[in-house]
Amino acid sequence: MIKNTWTIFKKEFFSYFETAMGYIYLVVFLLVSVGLYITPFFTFPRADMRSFFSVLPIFLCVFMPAITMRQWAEERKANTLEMLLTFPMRPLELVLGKFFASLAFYCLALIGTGTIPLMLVSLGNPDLGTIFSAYLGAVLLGAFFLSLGLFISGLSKDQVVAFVVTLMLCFGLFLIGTDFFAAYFDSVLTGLGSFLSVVAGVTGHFEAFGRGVIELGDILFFLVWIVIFLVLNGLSLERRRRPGAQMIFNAAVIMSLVIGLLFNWLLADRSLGRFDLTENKIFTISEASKDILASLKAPV
Amino acid sequence: MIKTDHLTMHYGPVVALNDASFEVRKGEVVGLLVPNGAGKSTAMKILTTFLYPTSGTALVNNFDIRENPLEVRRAVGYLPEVLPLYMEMEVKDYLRFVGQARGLGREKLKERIEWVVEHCGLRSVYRLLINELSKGYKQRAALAQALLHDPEIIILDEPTSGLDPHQILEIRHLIRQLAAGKTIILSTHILQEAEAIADRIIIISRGRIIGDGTTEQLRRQAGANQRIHLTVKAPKDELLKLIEAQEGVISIDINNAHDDFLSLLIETGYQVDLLPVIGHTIWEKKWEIHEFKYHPFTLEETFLALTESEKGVA
Repeated sequence: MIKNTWTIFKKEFFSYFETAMGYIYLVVFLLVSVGLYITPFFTFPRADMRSFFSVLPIFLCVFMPAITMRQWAEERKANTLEMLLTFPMRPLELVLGKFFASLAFYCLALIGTGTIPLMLVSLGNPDLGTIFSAYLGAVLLGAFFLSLGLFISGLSKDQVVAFVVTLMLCFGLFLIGTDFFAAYFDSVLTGLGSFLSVVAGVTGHFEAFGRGVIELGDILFFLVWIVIFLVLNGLSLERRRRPGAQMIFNAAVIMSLVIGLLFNWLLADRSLGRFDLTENKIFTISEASKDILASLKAPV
Repeated sequence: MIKTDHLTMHYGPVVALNDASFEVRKGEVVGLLVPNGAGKSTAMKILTTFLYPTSGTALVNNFDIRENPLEVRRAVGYLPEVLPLYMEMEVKDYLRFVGQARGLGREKLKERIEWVVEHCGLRSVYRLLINELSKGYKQRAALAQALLHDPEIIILDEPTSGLDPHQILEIRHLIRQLAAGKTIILSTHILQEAEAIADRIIIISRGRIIGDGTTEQLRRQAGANQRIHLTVKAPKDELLKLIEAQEGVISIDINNAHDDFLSLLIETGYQVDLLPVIGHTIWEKKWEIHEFKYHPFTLEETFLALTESEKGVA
């Protein structure tokens, strides 16, 4: 299992660097992300990365589909898919190999942005805990988009189609997580907007990391969706052209989405444990505050 | 080694395979002859577990393709019709990747890569990008991929398509060389090729198996007629009268050859043998014979006859 995944991982990861595409991609990603941060930085220098991470989801909506679009579509085009699927491997091993390769590539790009915290440390006194947790959130958000993109790439014959569809879905997930859209949907049907933003919107879950608070529920939110899309991807490969495959597959997609939504809905109201990584634990109620709160007579 | 059991495959309304049962024994080289566009490659894709049959099943190396696809894949080496090549990889990296994916250990992999590079003639292009290879070398690289893990069963879909005659001969030679101890199925739409490489030929037309046997058996099955080619110096009328008098003659095709010689192609029923009878008369009349021989039906004609009779049935 691990050996097969590793074989595919190696092949996939190095395939980014077989052509100039991988290098161009990294350069463009860094230019745009770091460039956009640095430009206002010198006008209003502040030793934190809030502005970087607040626009990151929009970048990822564009950059993640660009990583995943080719992954299955290209194999289809070159007919290497026929070879991969007649190797003695399970489809899920192929999927995992490809997923982790794209994740590793994305992490490489993220490591490239490490120049910003390095600069901040040398210029000022940034809150490293907050920056670390924001990076963790960025990895999870990226991984979520990658698993979604991989799934879409597996369904489409054409790279461009895979790219556009993934981009729209990622952007949609970003939008329904924003307060503006949540409020709008709430006005259409009470509770709908906040429900969607909690169970499927990525923005709120990601922003918590940006504040320096790692909420176990947020981590689970991303992990659940990642697992669902990877399993669906494996299933779509496994069941090609089998009798009744289309129906079973559609049913599986709907089932998984329902399970994902339900699971996250259940998680939403629970606090499963959290880690406050900010320097002064500013999002954690201190013992002194607790004492004061306990002595209050009226409910707050 | 391979046994299919009422394999049927539909692509929507198109029937690519219809109730196909055949068997391939260990060490046999079998040619699958499929006219273009008639669900080509489907049987091979099913046997390699790439496709899942609509109904029916097959045993490959005693494993059921529906129940144990992973075991089947381990035993089979497969060259698809559209070559599965990573254009941006070097031949070396490509073979290494395939070997690792096939689960070969480090030592074994080195040994096998050495073997396929030698036997598929890839030495001179070993460090080139696959993109830069000629069609012939691409074909060889893909073939090397199929042979890398030293499979018991080798399934080759159109192994010589797009090659020049010289390369075709080389690949055929290689396949014949491999044949010892291996079970090979290859598909082709070129009849001579099937005749040249395969011990046995299976003809599939519109999804149905319409012929299964050696070339000779297929001819008999097609009920192909006998033909005699005769070039002789004789008075035309007398000669024709003589031949027409024989029983079982279906047609006579006359061409005037050079210097008073007549060239005839005589078609008779399969069981009829005119050679001794006519020969005897010609010998008695002391006519000068230039050519006198059986003219067997080619595999093309056999094939046409088989597909014709199939149409008649349908």
